[in-house]
Amino acid sequence: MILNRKYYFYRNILSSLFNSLKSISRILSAKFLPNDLLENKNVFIGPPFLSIHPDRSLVCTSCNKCEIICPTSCIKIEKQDNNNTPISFLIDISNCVYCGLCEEVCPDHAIFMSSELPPVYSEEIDKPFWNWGIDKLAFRKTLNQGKGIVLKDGQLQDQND
Amino acid sequence: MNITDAFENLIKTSDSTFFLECKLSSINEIWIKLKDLFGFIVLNDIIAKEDKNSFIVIYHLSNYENKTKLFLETKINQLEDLPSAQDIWKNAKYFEMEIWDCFGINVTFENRKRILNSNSFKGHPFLKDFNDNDNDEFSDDKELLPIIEHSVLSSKRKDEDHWISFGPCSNNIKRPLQLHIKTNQSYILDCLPKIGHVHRGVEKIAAEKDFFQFITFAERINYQSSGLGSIVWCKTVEELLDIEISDRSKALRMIFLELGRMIDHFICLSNICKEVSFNEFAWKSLDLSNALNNLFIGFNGKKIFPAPARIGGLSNKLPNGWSAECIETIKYIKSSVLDFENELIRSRLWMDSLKVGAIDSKTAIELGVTGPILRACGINFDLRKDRPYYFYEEVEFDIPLGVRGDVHDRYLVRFEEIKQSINIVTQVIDNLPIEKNDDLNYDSNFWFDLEETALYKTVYNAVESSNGEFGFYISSVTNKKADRVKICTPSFKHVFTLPPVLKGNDLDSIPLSIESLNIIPTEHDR
Repeated sequence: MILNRKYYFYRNILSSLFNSLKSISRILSAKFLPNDLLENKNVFIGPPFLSIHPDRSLVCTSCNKCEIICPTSCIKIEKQDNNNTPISFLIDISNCVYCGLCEEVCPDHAIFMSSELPPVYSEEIDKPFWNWGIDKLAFRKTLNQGKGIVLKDGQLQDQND
Repeated sequence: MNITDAFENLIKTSDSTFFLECKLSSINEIWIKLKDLFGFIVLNDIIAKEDKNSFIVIYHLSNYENKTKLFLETKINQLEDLPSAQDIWKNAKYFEMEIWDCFGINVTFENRKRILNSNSFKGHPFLKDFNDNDNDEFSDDKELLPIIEHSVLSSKRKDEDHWISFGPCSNNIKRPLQLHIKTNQSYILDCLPKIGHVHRGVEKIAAEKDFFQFITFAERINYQSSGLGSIVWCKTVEELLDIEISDRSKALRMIFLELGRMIDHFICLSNICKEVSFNEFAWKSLDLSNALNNLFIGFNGKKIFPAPARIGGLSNKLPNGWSAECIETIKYIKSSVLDFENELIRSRLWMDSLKVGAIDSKTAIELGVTGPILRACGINFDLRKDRPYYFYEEVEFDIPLGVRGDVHDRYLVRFEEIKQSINIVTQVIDNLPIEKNDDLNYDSNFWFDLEETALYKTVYNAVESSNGEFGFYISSVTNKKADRVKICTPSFKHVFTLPPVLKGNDLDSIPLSIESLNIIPTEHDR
């Protein structure tokens, strides 16, 4: 048992001092050790994007895991018989709930959630506007000025590189 | 007499759970026997499911004295009539209306009314051969319109009884809920709540999706307590599939449940403060709930629907520095909560304006009320103490109880629960188990590697949420998909406490009473 009940019954001065020292050291160490929290702060979860290889081809290998797991079934992938790279990758953005399960499940790090604002109502609202294809998912203007984001050794490259 | 001697086919599935199957002809005697001799005075839920041209109806009963629960199961043909349990348990009326609405089970004639769907709806949507082609997308529903004939505006004498309608879009109620209220001058004589305005059929969606996909939907059932839905759903599925999770994820889930409870209580408190124009405190408590929300952002980057749980563990590893941040936030909240209390405890105006909306313990038990509202009436029932899960047995905390059951007592109970939650979080985070490599932690490939096999099993699992008993009932066909899911939510019962709460009060007390009950529309409409 990890939360030892007896521990609280027989707590003496030394053990409580030890306990408070432990929590103080935890707070102090957080200031010097690398802190993951700073990365997570001010994160805004927006519509997903696809990462690319340096030669502008998609990382995606059409394993269909994101298509299976998507709770609102808004992802549709089509692939050629002999080639693994998808010929069409459609996401219905109007159905996406930004849960991020596709990003969690992807074995190749091909799909990520961006930190852009979700699209809003516009005058050109129609089916093609909400159904985003490869050109919009990987090479839209808000992603690194339309150049796309490169994946190298399982890590997203910095946009300035 | 012992309960095991009284019924021959009684099965004891665990320490506090019984299972009983009976015939339809003898069900009335068994109800009376269970209530009068064995103390099952609370009806928590009625669950129905389809089974090859017949229905199975399950009565979920609770005994608050022995801390036991019982599932009474009976089979009914499509043509047979189900006798009403309304005389024995008062709230059976609403559950019977629900099973007629969803499945078309022949309940007594007066209860054959729509409760979740609109009156112009055709067919029963939870049947497997249901066809939606008969229903138009937009149809007029006369029940939704306010009752204009008896409106105050009509030229009637002042001392006569009037019917007034509030909602579903009203700045008094602030949520999609409609109230038809019978008044004399400004005193409330009767009240009829109408629900179902945001009914989305989540239970039907749960039977279509697989267990992993439904985590996202489960999180959205209660939007105020962050992380509650996903944790309870994963806990239920883990029991169904016999998955054991690591001690560390159990302890972390406990922390998330307590943080979610504090967020919900702070939002409820801020709503109460707003109604009595204590605006400074309203903003203060919203600030505190925001500070707790930031802990969820630190964990996985999501604020509103964080969904920290996954089947077999948590969504990601605990980030470096999170526990230190948690300790500092808790320290900040503890000091501000004490300031808060000192200011409010001296205010005479605060106490006087909250002396409305009382409910006595007898009515509360008859209507199956759970959570802080039940405890404010003086009944000591908390799932964390009575049927402990995770490590609640090993932490020390107290359960606050009220006396009168009015808005002020509910505020006191909620406020004391925040302090106890702070207590629990500090105890758990002090003794957080160390991360081990051999822990069965959540892995995204785990769900895809699992082979689909047939599994016929039923599981009910519940936790004490900020509003009361929140649980899932799953009856599965395979180890990836459910046949029927029933969501047992506290708000469904709390909506129907509005008639006894409002009766005899002034019209001014409506918004305050509703806010103090903390009714969540997505919970009762599902």
